[in-house]
Amino acid sequence: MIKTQQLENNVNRELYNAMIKRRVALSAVLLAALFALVILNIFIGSSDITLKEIIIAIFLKEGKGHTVMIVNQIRLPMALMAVAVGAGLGMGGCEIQTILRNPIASPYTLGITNAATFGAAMGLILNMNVVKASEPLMVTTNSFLFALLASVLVYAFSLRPGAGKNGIILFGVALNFLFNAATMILQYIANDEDLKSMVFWNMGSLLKTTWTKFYIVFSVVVVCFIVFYLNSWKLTAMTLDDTKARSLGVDTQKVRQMVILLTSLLTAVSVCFIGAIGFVGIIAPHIARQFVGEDQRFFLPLSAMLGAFVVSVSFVVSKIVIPGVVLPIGLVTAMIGVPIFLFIVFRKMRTL
Amino acid sequence: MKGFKKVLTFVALVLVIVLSLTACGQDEQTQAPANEGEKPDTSFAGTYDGSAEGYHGNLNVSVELDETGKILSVAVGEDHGETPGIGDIAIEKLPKLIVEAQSLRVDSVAGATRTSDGIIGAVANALSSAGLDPAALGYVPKEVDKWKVAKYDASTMPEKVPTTDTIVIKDVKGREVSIDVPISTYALSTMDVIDFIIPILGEDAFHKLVASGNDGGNGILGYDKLYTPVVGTYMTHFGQISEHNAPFDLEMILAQDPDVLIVNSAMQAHKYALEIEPQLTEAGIPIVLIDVPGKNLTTSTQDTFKILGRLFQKDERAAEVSTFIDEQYTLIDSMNLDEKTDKATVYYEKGGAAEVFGSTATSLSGWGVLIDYAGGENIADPILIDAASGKGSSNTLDPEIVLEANPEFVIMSGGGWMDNHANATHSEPSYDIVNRTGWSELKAIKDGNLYNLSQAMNRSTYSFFAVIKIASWLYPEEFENIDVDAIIDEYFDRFMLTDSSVNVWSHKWDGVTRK
Repeated sequence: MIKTQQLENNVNRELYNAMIKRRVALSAVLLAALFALVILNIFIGSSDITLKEIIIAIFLKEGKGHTVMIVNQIRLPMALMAVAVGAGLGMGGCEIQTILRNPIASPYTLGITNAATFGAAMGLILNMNVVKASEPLMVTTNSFLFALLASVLVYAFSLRPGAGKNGIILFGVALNFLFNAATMILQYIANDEDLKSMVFWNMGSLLKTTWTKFYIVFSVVVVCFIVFYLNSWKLTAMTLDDTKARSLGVDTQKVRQMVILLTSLLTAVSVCFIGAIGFVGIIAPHIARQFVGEDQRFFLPLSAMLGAFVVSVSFVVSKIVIPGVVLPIGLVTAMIGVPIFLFIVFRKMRTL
Repeated sequence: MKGFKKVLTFVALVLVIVLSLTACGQDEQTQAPANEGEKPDTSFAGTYDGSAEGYHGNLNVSVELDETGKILSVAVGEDHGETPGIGDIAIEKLPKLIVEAQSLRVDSVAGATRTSDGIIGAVANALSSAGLDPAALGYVPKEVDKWKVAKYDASTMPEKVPTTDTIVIKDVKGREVSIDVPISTYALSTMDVIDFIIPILGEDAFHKLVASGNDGGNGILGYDKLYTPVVGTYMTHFGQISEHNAPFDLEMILAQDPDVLIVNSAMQAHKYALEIEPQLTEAGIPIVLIDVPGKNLTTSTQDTFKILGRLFQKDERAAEVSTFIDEQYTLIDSMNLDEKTDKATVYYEKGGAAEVFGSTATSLSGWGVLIDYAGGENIADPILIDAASGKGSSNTLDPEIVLEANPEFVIMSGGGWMDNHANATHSEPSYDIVNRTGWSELKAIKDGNLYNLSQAMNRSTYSFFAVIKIASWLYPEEFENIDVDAIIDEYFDRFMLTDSSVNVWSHKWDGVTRK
C-alpha cells in the first residue's frame, strides 16, 4: 500500500518535473528570441548603418558622423525601452487579470491610461503645467501626475471595506468615462494643430526615449517584478475565489490593494513616456496562460516576456513598413496584437 | 487547426485591405482610347479624335484627313488644362507645323515641351485610329517621365562647404542661436516652410534641403511632384524626420546631419524640437525658430524672411521679398477697411457640406484673422469671441444663428494645396452647403457671394494674397483699378520658381445648385 503510494508519488513527481522543465525551456527560448529582437531593433533604423559599424559604435564608441550617438543614444535606449514597457504592461495585465479574475481586465480597465491622456491633453492644448516642469517635459509630467491621481483614486477605493473585484472594475470604468469626457472637452476647444498633436500622442511613440526615461521605467519594472514574484504563491491562490483563497491564508483585500498600487505605477510610467500602447496588457497574459496556466512562478515572467516580445516585434515592424518613417508604435501594436488575440479567442471557443 | 485557418483568413483579409489602400495611392495610367475599328484601306477621309497626356492632364485633338491620308487640319480641344501663355503658344503653333510638314517630327515649343509632346502624341493617336501608321510620319513615342519616388542615395548629399564665420541670430522666440556659416545643408520642421526658403535661395532651397517633417497637406510628396521637374532630383538626399505635428525621428536628423534645423514655432513642432534640443546641441545642429502669419499677421512673414536672410547670408534678397509683402499690407491699410461704418458681414466655415457642419473661426483664430483684416464683420464674433473655445478650431455655430445673422458673404476654406503638378487632378468645390436648410434665403447665397479659399494660403507666405483677395470680394469698389491676380503673379514671377498656376487660389460659386 505504502509502496504503491510511493510509486504514484514518484510518477507524479516525474510528471511535475517534466512539466517544469518544459516551462523553463519555453522561457529560455522566449528569452533568446527577445534578445534577438533587441539586436534587430538596434540594427534597423531610419539611417543605414552596417552591423560592423554598430558593434564598433557600441563597444569602442567610435564611428563616422553621428553614428556613435545614433547607436548609443537613440537606438539602444529605444530598443531596451520597447522591452521594458512591453514587460511592464504585460506584467500589469497579468496581475490585474489575476486579482480581478476577469479575462478582459487590463491596466486600462482601471482608468489610468485615460487619466494620463487627459494630463497630456492639458499640456498640449491648454499649455497648462501642473507642476512647474520645464516646457519640454510638461506633457510627460502632466500625464504622469494624472495617471498617479487615477491610481490613488482606485487604490483609495480598494481600501474601502467590501470593495470587491466587481466594484473595482466599475469604479475603473467610471474613471475611464470621466477622464474621457474631460479630454473631449479639451479637444473641443483645441485648434487644429494641437488636436493633431493629441492624436499622435495617443498613438504612442518610442521616439522620445532617452536613457533617463529608460532607467525610470526599467527600475519600476524590476521592483514590481520582484515584489510580484515574491508573492507568486499568494497571487496563484487569488485565481481561486476569494473564500478559498482566504482559507489558504491569503489576505485577498491586501493582495488586491498591493497589485492595484504597483500596476498603476507600471502603467503610469509606461504611458507617460510612450503614450497609450493598446492591447499589450490584455494579450500578453492571455498568450502566457495558454502556455503555462495560472502558476504565477511561470505565468508572471512569461507575461512580461511576451509583452516585451509583442512591443519589440511591433517596433521592428513600425520601422520597416515605410522605409525612413517610423510609424506610431500604438498603431502597429494593435494591428499585430488583434490577430494574435483573435487566434486565442478562436482556440478557446474550440476547447469549450 | 480550424481556428488557425480562421486566423489566417483574417490576417489575409487585413493584408488585402492594406495592399488595396497602398494601390489606391498610385497614379493610374491614363488609357489611350482603343482603335475604333479597322477602316477600309482605300479611303482615310474623315475626322478622327485622339488624345494623349499633356502637362496638366489629357489633351484632345481632332484630325481631319483626306482620302489619301493627308492631314488637312489639326484642332486642339478647348478642354485642356495647359499653362496659359506658354502652353497656348504650343497649342496654336504645333498643329500648323504638323499640317505644313505633313510629319510628326516637328520641333516642340521651347518652354512647353510637355504640351508639345502631348499634341504630337494625340495626333499620332488619332492617326492610328484612322488606320494609319504614325511611325511612317516620323512619330517617335515619347516616354512621359512619370513622377516616381526617388531612391535615397547618400552619395548625392550636398557637399559641405568649410565654414568661415560664426553669426548669432535672434530667432522669433528671442533665443540667441550661434551658427557657423555658410550653411551647406538645412532641415525643416514642416515641408511647407520651404515656401519661405525658395524666395531666398531659389533652386538651392531644394538642393540644400536634406530633411523635413511632413505638413498637413502631405507636402513632402506634393512638393516633390511639383518641384522635381523644375529643379531636378533632390529627393535622393532627403530624409523624412516626422509626420505632421508628431515627435521628430532624432536618428534621421542626425543621419542627415543638417547644418541647421529650421522650426515653425507656430506649431507643436517647436515643442518636439525643444525636447530633443540637448541631443541636437551635442551633435552640433542648432535650432532656429521661425514664425508664420497668425496673431502677427502683417509682420511675421517679413520677420521670418529677415531671419532666414541672415541665416543664409542673403539679407538683400530677404529685404526685397519682405518689402514686397510690406507693400501689399500698406495697400490694404491705405483703404482703411477697418474704419468702414458699413462693414460687410461674413460667415466663415471650414469645408462644410449641407449635412456636415464644418467649424467656423472668430476674428481671433485661423482664417478669421484674415477675414477680419480684410474688413469683414464676422458673425461668429458676438457669440464665440469671449467663449473658452473662441481661439479653438472646433467651433460650430448653431445653424439658426447663421440664418438669423443673414450674412452678406459666405467664405469657405479647404482643399487646394500647392499640388498643381503634372498628374494633379482638380475637382471643383461641391458647394453642397447651399442645400443646407434655409440657405437659399440667405443674402450671400441669393447674391452669389459664396467663395472657397485655398488652404495653402493660411499661415503661409501667401497670407497677404488671401487678405487682398477677400478684401476685393467684400469691397470691390476699392479695387476697381487694381488687378488683384497680377499681385500673386508678380510674387511668383519675382520670387518663386514656377508661375502662380501651381495652385487654385480661390474659387467663386457659379450659382448652380447641385444635389
